[in-house]
Amino acid sequence: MSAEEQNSSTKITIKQWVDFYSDDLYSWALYKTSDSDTAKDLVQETFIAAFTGFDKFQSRSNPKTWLFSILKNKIIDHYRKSFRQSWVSESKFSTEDSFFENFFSSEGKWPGHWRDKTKPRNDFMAEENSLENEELGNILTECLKKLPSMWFGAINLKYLEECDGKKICQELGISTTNYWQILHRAKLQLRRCLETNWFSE
Amino acid sequence: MSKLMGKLLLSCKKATELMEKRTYFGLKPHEHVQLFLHSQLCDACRNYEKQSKAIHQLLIKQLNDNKTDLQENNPELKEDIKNKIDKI
Repeated sequence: MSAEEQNSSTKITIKQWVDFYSDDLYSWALYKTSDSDTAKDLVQETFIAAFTGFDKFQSRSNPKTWLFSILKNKIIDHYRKSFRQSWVSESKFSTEDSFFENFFSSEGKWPGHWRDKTKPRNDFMAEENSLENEELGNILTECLKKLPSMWFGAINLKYLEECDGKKICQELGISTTNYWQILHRAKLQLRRCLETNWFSE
Repeated sequence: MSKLMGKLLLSCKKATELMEKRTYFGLKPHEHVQLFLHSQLCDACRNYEKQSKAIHQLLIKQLNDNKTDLQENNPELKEDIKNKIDKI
């Protein structure tokens, strides 16, 4: 087969894959990014990458699995980029402490102690099976969407990449201290949001 | 003495920060001790600790879930992609 014939047969294969898998890929990208334009771009980039890297595929695996792994990397890149952008624009991060004022009181006998209204309640997430609780999962999804984009990105990178924090920090070019401090803020906010919504329903 | 107490007794803000550091990076030996002492004395932080761990598990489950049940049909997107592929 000539190079040209090879090229057009690859195109036919990729276009079949578009028909078979693009809806699944798009649904997943939308679920991960909560933004339809971003999801569309990422799916498009995935198929272009599949075309240009087709010789790496060689029908050794399931095309769907392969496409999903490309898309996953595209999503990670997307969060890395958006994290870096907000990191640069929110340069006041390290000195801005008003966030913590919502949770901890700075006066009193024990400064830095929980405020009464934001103290974690002992009756929240007490059951063993809270992991299986679908309603809690739905609230989590909503609460994640409300996080500032930098924190949302920091969380997603950690849980999508499944690698240790140090590697993520190297890739992002930030210190480990900065990274866990962002995760701390995100977690405080997320926990509070979950608790509030759980008891309001 | 009060200086020593200050070093031993963390604020809740610092204690919760160390709990998150532990989840993602691990702690130094003296930080383990500080956190242990704080948790002995503080109910609210013990609650936080339990819930933070549960949220961690929930995030692992949720963010790795290959949920595709939205099943949106996107004929336009398909055409767009095919056109792009043709132009390469």
